[in-house]
Amino acid sequence: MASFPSFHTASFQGEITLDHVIPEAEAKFAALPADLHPELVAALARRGIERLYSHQAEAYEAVRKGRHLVVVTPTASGKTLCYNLPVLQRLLESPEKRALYLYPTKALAQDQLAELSALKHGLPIQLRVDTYDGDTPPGRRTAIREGGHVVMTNPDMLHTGLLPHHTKWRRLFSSLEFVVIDELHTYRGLFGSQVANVIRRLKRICAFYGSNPTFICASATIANPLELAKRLLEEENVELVDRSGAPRGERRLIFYNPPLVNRELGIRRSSMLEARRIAAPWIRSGVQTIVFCRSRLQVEVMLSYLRQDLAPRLDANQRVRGYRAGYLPLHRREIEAGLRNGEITCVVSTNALELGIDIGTLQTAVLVGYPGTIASTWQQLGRAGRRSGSVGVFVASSSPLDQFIVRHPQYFLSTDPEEGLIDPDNLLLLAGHLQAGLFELPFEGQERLGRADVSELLQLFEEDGSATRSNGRWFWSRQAFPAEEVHLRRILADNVVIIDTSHPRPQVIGEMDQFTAPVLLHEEAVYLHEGAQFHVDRLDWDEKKAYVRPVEVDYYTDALASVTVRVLETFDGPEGDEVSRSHGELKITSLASMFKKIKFHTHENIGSGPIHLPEQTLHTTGYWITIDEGLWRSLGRETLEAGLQGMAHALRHVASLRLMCDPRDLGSVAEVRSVTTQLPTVTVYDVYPGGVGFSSRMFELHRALLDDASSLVRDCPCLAGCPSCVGPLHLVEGAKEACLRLLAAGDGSAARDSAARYVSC
Amino acid sequence: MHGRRRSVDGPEPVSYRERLTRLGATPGPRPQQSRSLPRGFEEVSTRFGMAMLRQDVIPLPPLEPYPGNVAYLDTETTGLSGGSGTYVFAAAVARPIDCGLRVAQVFLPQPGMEPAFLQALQEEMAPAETVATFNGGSFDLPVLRTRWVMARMPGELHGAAHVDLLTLVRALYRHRMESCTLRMVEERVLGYERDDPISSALVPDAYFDYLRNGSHDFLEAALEHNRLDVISLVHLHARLLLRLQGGEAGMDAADWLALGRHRFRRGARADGWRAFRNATSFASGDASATAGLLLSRRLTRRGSIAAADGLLGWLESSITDDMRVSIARARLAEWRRRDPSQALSIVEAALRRMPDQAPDLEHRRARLRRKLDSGRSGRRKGYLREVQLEAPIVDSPA
Repeated sequence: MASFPSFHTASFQGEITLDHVIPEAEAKFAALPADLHPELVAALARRGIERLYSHQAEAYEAVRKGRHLVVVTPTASGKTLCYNLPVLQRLLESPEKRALYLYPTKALAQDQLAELSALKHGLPIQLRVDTYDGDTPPGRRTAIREGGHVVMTNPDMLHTGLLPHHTKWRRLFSSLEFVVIDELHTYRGLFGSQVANVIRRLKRICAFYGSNPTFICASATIANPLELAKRLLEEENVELVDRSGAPRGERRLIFYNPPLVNRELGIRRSSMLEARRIAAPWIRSGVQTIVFCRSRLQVEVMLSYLRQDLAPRLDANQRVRGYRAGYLPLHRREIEAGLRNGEITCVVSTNALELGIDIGTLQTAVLVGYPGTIASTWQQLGRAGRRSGSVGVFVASSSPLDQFIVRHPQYFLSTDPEEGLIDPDNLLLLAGHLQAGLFELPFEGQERLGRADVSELLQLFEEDGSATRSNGRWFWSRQAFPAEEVHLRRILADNVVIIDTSHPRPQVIGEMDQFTAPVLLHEEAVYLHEGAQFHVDRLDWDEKKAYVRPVEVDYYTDALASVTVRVLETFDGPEGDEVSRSHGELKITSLASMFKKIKFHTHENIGSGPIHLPEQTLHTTGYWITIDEGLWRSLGRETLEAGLQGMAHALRHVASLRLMCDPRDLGSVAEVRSVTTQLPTVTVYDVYPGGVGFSSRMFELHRALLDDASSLVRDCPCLAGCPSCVGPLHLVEGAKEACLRLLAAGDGSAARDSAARYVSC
Repeated sequence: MHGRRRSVDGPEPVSYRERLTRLGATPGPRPQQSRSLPRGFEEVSTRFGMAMLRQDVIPLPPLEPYPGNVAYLDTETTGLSGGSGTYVFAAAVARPIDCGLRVAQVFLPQPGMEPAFLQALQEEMAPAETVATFNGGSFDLPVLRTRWVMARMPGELHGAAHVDLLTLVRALYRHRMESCTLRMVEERVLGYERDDPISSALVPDAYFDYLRNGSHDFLEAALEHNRLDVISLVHLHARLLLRLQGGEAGMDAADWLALGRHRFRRGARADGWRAFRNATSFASGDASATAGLLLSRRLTRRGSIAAADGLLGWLESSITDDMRVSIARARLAEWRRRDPSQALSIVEAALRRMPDQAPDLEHRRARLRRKLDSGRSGRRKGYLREVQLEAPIVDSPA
């Protein structure tokens, strides 16, 4: 057995619910392919590669046979060579060919540019490899369009920069041999559905120029990679390579549940403090460690803890670093490099490091709280473990969901990670991309967009003037540039810039999205950045600027926000008697009202203050259910509220399955008395501004959703409701029963029977 | 379920129309109207089908100076964003011929007839050796190139040379205008105010209105706008050529300065020199001083120090309030003639003339004084390089 970094269970008062050793896997090698170009063999040898892992060889063979491919292997198993090898081989054979690489973020493209540049070094032909994104200087763009052999970009740039201007990219599209889609698992839900439509448009353009590229996808472990790839690419001839030949060290996996400190309230010792006790000795002894926190705030707090623990060392601040989305790109690159060359011992991160940014091999990973999905839990644990003797520890928080997972480790080990689901035919997405496609190339009379029949939509466009029919073809006929009206990720655009005023010349140290800013950057907030504390002196909301200065205080601040739903317009409904359904346009407001000052270590509340900032508003579409008075009068307010909360939680989850989107694409709110309906109301809404059309679908699926929600709750093995059925927050007695009664009222037989059964036993 | 949304369970399939209407997206069906051609256009046959052409010859006295075999081109597009969904729906080509100016306009009655449109345009341009446009370098020509790719047509525009009149206007007239729009150029350079039937911003909508509703009024206006634009280009080019030859009456110092800079950039040194000299000879104003300074810099560079000094001296005596001239002259005296005491007296004279510029000159005077003091104290005593013997300034100004 390998020697693991010491973890002495005896020194922790909490409960170890899982101490599992995942056995080592030996490397399965394969010889370098016989047809591999000698120069490429030499280039690999210079990088120390004399043979391939079996999955790399399989991938190479599949691509050489002209098949589309999806490679699914664990973190750090040499996935990139699976696509770089066949691509370089082809370029060596015929240098006029081209390849397009898509990464979900600019940062990943940068990272992979360095990787491929190192590999191509010394090859006999001048291969031009470039990233092309919003940061590419205008002066280099023409050269990349004309001469780039491998162009690395992101779906957003492909969508607004390449496809609508495809005539300038004629050289690339007419010789396009490969399209590489890395991090396939990120293309799910709304983003995936959008990207699927971008790929439909990409294929149209390729067809116009007479090319027919092979798609090579790489993905982290998800349950349905092949299905996702087939759906995203709309191709049947896709080969799956999922048997990793990479060696894997023996790994120890530990679930740790901190001790109860308040039995009545079920409150446990802080997962932050426990995680700190676990990680600190490792860091002191130089074991490279990554700590994953759930929020930006936690990252900053954990940073200051761990630096204190290392404090006698002068370089504590250098050895322990933070890494999260708010940092500027250059800063992030520096941290990534420091991890690779060993100058940094510990990095504290949000899920930003979940993606395949190459930070080399870490030995231990500590997860503070459950990351939300099984897939991302494995991704985060996978950050440690290439060599033998790595340890991954999951430290549960008091939250019911964490408690559910930590108490049922077998559930975690046996369940397949979640599926990546998309719906490219969502009408509003389809309509947006059809307009963009129409701008790019006219549509033939019976042409489809991918598999979607769009003739009826084209007729609608003709009626509203967006399209003109001429000589049996459809042409775009508006002045607008339609791709710019479709945002693939729908992230709120105007960020708040954070300015440090302590320098003679004020410095921008980061930025934050508008929806989060009221909670973290309100005036008097202690904003933590890279472990340093900054006091927010002034927040200029109109200019979107927060002026901060460094301070050293022994507390941090935490803000509370309240959420309200208002119906702006009802498109359909209410329909139904006891339980009615409606859908329409909503205004969802979030108001940060006050903040608390919380002392480090003791976590006691040492003060509070009001927050005077405008409400953050989300205009979207939603579907809501109201409950008639006759049903709830007998329940009592508390039980009713618990039942509604349970219903909201269950409905949101089953709806995300039915709609083939990510649960995070939907939000839900339960209100005992809604301002609009004046009745107990459960609302499930689209979390993206303007909505993407999920609400009318939920309205149509009303009956099915109630059925599904009933079975979810009914079939859950728990006695009185648990995080996986009625939701994580509301373990009120009778919640499960109340929830089933409410769900049963809206539907006939199944749920009512089971509710009766449940109540009777 | 053809054209219908997938439906997992019971409810009736709902049509796209209904669903989009619910989302507030669509107006009702629009009656299709027949479209007739705009006034004066006739069908001409090309090997890609029918194209719409309108031709006209405007009697015009022979152009002086003669521009050569040029086709003037102006296009109207469905948008300014570029990209493959921006069409060229009208193009006007003007060519000087023996009896005047031939103006041809090609019109795209519907997007599906683009290949014939492009072919007709190409044929119209074919006889010319040069294409002249206004901002064609960054707009008209790239857009047309995209259209040729989109139509899968051979050729593009044949290999004619391109003259972008906007580039010339910017070089020669920018100092006279706040912006270099064609409208502004007409007003300030050609001296007429056009009674434009339609503003440029409305042109795309005029075409879309025609496509959707068959309505003519705005489209006729847009086509007339296109025709007037291309005629303006002919006059503008003639005017630019005249100025480039220096043959235009009433040019002031700034005009000559701009012309001189342009000629130097194009490598025409003798012309540039002449233009700078003419600008200098006005002997008043900033532009005149700037031209003189540029000349003296060139004289200095080629070693004609005395000539440069003579020119600057003359300039200083005629334009007494330009500090740049005095400083240039002082620097020449100090560094080229190695005569700090002369430099000091130049600076002191300038200070007397321009007391309000004192802070800028003061520093230089102080430094020169220090230098002279330390020089007197011994180190470089007696060192004064002989100046070249050369004739003073070649062209004495008028």
